[in-house]
Amino acid sequence: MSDEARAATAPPRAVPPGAGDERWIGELRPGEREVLLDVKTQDMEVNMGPQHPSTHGVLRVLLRADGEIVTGAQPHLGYLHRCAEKIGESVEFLQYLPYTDRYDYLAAMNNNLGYSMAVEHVMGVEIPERAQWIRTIFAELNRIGSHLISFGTYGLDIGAFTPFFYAFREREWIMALFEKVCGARLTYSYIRIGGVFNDLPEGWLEELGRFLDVFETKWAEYNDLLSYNHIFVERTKNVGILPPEKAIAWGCTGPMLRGSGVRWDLRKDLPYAMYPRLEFDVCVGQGRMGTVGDCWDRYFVRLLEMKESVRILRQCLRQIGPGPVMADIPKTIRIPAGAGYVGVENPRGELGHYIVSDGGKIARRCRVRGPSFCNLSILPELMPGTMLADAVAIIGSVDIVVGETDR
Amino acid sequence: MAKSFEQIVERLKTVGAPGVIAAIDPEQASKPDPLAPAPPRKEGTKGPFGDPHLLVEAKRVPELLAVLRDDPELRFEMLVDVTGVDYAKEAANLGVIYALLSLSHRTRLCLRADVPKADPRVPTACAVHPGANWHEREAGEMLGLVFEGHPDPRNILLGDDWVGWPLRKDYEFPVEYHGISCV
Repeated sequence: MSDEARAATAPPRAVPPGAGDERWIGELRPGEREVLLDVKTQDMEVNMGPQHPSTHGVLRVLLRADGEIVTGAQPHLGYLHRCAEKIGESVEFLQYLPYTDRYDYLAAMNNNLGYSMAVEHVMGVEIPERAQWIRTIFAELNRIGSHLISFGTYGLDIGAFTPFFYAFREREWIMALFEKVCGARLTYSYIRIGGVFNDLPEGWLEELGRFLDVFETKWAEYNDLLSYNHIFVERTKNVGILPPEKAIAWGCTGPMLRGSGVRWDLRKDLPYAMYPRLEFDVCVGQGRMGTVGDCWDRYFVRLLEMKESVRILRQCLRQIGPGPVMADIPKTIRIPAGAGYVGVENPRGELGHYIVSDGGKIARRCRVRGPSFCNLSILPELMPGTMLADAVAIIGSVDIVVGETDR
Repeated sequence: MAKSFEQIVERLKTVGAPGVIAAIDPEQASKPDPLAPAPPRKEGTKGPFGDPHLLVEAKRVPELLAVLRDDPELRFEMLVDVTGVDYAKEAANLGVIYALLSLSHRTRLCLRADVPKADPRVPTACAVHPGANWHEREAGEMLGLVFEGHPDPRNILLGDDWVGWPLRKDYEFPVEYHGISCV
């Protein structure tokens, strides 16, 4: 039967609620047209989560599907809401620091850094140089650790088990390095307001050097394992395409934005800590496998960023010098009346803190802008028109941490 | 190239941007009443530290955001954050804060719009920056702000039946929620 004949005999496609809204229909890809015409369909609502393994936590996405094709997606958050902002205006500035560990628990060092920088910004305090170097080292090391999880679990979502175990092997070493410095493996509270908690133990920098040597060889293995795997590429290329204009309008940041080909990295464009003195490239999606801004591009940007982090860390090792690691600030921090916003480049995008102080020991307002929250908000835009199985690929490529979306 | 806050204010004056009331320093931006005369600073104290804000008219925020986004000298393409602040229990106003980012000029800008607590309505920014959607839902449920014209004004982090606005300073913690004791 020709296409025209099919179209004439097939029943009209079920139109989802909100008919006439072009968003729900989306563009058809080759093959989908046949599916649409052959099957008599009825819209069905499917709950993905709150206990679905690929939502990486307790997130529920209500999917509306017309057969195999997603016509709508609505994330429901709040299962992990822990009142971070309310706590922020109830406890002292330093007491709040451990709570920052808990929003993006895969990148707690970066959260510590973001919060400390915001408080220091409103406080107007200078940080000693060695402390800045140490902060940069830990931010980058945690970026590697976080991207390793992202890489491993993304493979897992798509159906590749092995990369996950490889990623966790290297992450374990990073955890051990963190443990040597602050005694914790996940919630560090190591980067403090005014600097860092204590100096590095003897031999730590040498061990970091050894780790980097090993990690670089392993990085090549990850690339061989997953990046060009035929099944993986087929599942991720041309899926969940996010055009750059849309990414900017929706406030997407981090690898989400760079995956769409926008060369924007706060470490480069609005540099902080020691980044102005470091040389590194901003990795962007180039559509090597499919279209710029597809899931594969986002995945590959993260992979490349790990390599850039290694480059940054090597430069840090060469340049770090002796000195104090804590600025001269009182035990009980009082901040003069003021307000300010500071954003830092977390592994998942821009982590922003907006602090309002009335001159006391406790913040009047402590707003947290989590990158996962903003990146996830575009999901209802990305999903319609994709196949049901692509939903997992898309959610995985957004790389959310639910602790941060819900805070 | 990066623009200083003064250059931005100057440019907004030149183009006759709608709804700009005043430029306020970080200290004023932390006060319930940003335009009240500040007490004289103590000799030798540095500061104030933080970000200078642009005090704007709540009603004209979307228009202003559109100007800020489209003007070639400003180009604040990304609305990074929208949030609300309750400055004090006895304050008459709530502040709505917009954090903007210009990718082209590598510049940030904070806007503050005050709305009365008795009638906390502010037009939604979703038409200008669709990314404001979830931020406004959160600010709405947490501070009782009403974003007029919002496409989907449901609660986002709290339950649909949550009573009260947790980030208001006069919020009272519930003793129980659906039979679950909270004390």
